[in-house]
Amino acid sequence: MSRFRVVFVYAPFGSSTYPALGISQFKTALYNENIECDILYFNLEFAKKIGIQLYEALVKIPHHLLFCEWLFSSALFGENSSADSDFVREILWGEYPDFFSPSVMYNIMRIRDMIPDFFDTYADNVDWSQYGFIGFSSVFQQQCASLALAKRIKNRFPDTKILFGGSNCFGSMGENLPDLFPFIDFVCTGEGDIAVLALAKAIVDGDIAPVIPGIVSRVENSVLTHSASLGCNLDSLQYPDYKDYFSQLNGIEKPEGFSYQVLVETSRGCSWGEKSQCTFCGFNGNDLTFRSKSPDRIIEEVRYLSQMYGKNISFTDNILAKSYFNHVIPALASIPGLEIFLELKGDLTRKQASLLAAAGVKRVHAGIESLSNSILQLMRKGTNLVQSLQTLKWCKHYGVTVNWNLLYGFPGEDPVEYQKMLELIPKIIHLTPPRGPNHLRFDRFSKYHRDPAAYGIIRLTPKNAYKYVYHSLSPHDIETQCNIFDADYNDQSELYEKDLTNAVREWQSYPEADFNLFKSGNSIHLVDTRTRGETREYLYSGLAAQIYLCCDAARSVESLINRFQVSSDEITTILEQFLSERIIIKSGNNYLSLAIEMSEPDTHYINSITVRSE
Amino acid sequence: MIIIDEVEFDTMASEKEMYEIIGRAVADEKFREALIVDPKKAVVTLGYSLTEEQARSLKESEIGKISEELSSRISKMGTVCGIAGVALMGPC
Repeated sequence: MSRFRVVFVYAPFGSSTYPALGISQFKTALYNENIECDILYFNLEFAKKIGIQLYEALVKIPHHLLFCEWLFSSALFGENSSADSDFVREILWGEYPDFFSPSVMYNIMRIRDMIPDFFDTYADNVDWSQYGFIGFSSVFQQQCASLALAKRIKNRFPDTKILFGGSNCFGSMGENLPDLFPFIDFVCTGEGDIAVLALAKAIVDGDIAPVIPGIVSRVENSVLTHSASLGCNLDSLQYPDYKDYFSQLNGIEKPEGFSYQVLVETSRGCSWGEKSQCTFCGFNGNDLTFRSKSPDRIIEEVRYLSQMYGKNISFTDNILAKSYFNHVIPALASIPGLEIFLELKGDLTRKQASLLAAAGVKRVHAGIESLSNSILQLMRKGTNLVQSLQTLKWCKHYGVTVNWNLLYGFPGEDPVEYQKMLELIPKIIHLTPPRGPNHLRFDRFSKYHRDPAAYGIIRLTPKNAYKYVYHSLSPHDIETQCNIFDADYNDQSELYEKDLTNAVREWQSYPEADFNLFKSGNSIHLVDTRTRGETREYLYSGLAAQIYLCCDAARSVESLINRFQVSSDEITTILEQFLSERIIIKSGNNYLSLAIEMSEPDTHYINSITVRSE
Repeated sequence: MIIIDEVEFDTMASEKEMYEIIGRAVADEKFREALIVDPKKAVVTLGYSLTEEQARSLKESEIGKISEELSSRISKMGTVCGIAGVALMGPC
């Protein structure tokens, strides 16, 4: 007798550059329960159809446009030329007319036209009847494609059971799905590790209406909602089985430079957010509680996955826990050849940055978000400007690339803060520029969504794009499904948006900018190319050099007096000189030197020297 | 295309008109199909005309060929719009 068999589908527009983590963990767990599990990377099939290069370009279109969802909406709901026309004119051409040029849109429409047939063919070519259930993992912009394929499968095989899960199904979004889309039988509305396994076992046992925490189920024409899903001990999770991804990826022609990432999950929740959720963050649904695998388990898992699948490791954690610097990060250095990406808070110490580099961390996403202390306080980020700049500076020193966002438009912000940023940016133009700048987004599960009135938000309404993508749903139903909202509040961003954008563009367009520090005995030599077409050099020795080096981490005048046992006047005279030469910044009572310390020999010719010495 | 004294002059659809033409193609599947078959002829129904180059750019479009153009445009958009290097990235 053949074993019970289930399948999970990973739909477009999940990126083709990494496997699906959750369902790959389910696969191992199910196998241990004597249940066979296939994973069909439908996203790779679509990527193959249109080419990976184009596919990945489309994945990167900003999510708030819902472009990738719209691409599949006709495959789900049927044609609606009026909605399509409004979507293109209002959403795409309204925000990015230059990018969605006529020729680009024309070709996108041609791609869109072939999608329903492509879905039909895929639905026809798989024997779905062999599976006890068909699960769809839906995160980010995978919902319309997942629904469109599920609908076709149910039409062809009415007895099959359809399961939906993933972050697009968290909480009330998932609870409403079976009512809105009657071809769905089960929805996992939270973590699925325990719930999905229990569901599979119940179906094996012939229970068609299992009562499982975290699973919404349809019985006859009723939808039954049970209690929230149970969280598991992360050490009890199985290692993910990524073999389906790699076998299906092998069948696709890849563009030059294509690289994949091996996903590793070491924690869930947010170690900062469980104490003080950042106001704009909607990650983690309703549960920010931080849970982590044990250090030994993490190292074992990274070692195993890197040996099995490759050294290009991406941690899926929302934030790197500080405790990892005690054991996990140093231990990772013992695994040779790793190239790690991870996300962290923008408050690294120099020591932590060096540990990351030694562990093979090549790229990080740092939660910097703003260059204003008061705006960071508004969003309850728990960091400040000098911490952010230190993170950028030390990561550059140790060769760790930083991605970060510059957000604006926060309720309650003072536009004057952006004027201060415009004055700051030329001084820090040698540090990695942000992406964007981007207007703040109002996400489901964020504090703005939970309690808008507390932030002066009069009303939140689903982003307009939803009504064109989900054109067959009522406004109320759309509200239950949407992730991103428009907010009615006193948004003052028009006052500074253009100037801020221009300043950031200038920053992004000048990667050659450097400001380097070379040590030589008791002296320091600074080489400054932060101004286009100009090289300025400074040589300091004695107390001035010592103060500059000491301010590598931000220092107050008082701490410098204590350190060097000299008068306040002597210290402030030197600091004022540094400030006038734009080689240091002052934030609050603290002074931070801006030059990046270089380890290689100083080979620069000194053209013009400013000397400050004892 | 305007015919004056047996001489043909191509008149180029302006950028705004190109948006109108494609806007119509988005909303009208039949027009879209007509545009694929014979772009110059299709746009006449809207009162516009295309140069040979404009017509060719529509006629010769193939998914493979547009890949480069789209990815190049959207890569630039990535810089402008703040797109994560990987979809996993988010606030932290």
